Amino acid sequence: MSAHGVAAPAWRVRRRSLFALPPLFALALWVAVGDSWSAWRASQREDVTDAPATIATAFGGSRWQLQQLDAVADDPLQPVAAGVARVRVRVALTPGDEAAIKRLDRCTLALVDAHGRRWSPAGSRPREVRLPAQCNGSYDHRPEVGAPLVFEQWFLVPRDAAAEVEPRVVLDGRPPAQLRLRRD
Amino acid sequence: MSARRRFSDALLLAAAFGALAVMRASTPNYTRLIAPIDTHGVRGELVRGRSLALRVDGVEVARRLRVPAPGGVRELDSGGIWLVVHATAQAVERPERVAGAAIVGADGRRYAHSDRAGFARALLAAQELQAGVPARGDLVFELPQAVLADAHLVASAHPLDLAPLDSRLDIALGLDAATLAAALSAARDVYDLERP
Repeated sequence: MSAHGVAAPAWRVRRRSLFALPPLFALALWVAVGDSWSAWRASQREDVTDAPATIATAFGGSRWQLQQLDAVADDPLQPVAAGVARVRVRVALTPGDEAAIKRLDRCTLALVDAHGRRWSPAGSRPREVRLPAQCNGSYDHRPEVGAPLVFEQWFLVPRDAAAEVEPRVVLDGRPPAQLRLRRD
Repeated sequence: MSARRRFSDALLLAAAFGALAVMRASTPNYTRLIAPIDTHGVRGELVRGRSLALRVDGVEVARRLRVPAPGGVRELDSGGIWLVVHATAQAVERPERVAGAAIVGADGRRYAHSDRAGFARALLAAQELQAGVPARGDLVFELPQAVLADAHLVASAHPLDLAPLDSRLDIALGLDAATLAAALSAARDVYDLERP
């Protein structure tokens, strides 16, 4: 057998091994971290429903509509830091049934901007505001099936974000269900 | 196989073992692998981590701390001293709290944020921080005076040591000999967390 005849098959085996390396590496990676990666992906998934401002949108068994979203002028009695704006959000909801009312106990309102930054209600509300501050009403304003309930939350956000933030209603779940209340 | 080929194979094998030995020696242990990721800074500078941004505005030393208590106030004594760190903090992306804070001395000893002060409103740890909205408050630590020289503040949005690979701020308090002497000479008898 010639020297060339011996060398050729060995080289072929090496080349095949080299080509097999990337898929094997990918397989090993998947076996090692595939489950964790899938779980992480599931945890990052967002279940978002869009709600136009003009009509009430069904979500979590209730109908929701954004009534007011505005940056409030500075109040000398409740000063905020420079570059910070107070934002008022007023939302109307109408529960469709008793189960929907129960879901309101695990409901929160947040503001989200285009970069994914999120704000929870902060700062004190003016005393003259009589509306409930929570989705599930207050002692005087309990949610009832078929009856509209209006609640109002106040937020502190950077002034440059005040014009673009959008409210999100979040209901408990895996992943949490979110209602995006659009400004338009 | 030629002698030259055998020699180059042996050389390659030796190099591979050498590389393995270097990798083995330089691989950090598990604790270091999952350690928090520190962002370093100095007093007076806004230090921005993944969850929190914090600036140390100043430090004060006091012998006692006056805190709110049911029905009034009470004063907390200490076998050491109270270090009060005045800070301004904000969340980066979503609402956060300063859930973990400690002073680390030059010798590496660590003193956690005191929970003896309860939830006084002046405490930074009692406030929910919003993204991009600066909030001012105090962090209080009970520690021996000897720890203060060249001490650092470490702070995180999660309890220290309970959040692997979490972002953590590490801020030098700038307590060199002269600054420390000035802070000690200006030490208050009582620092009032009700009216800071």
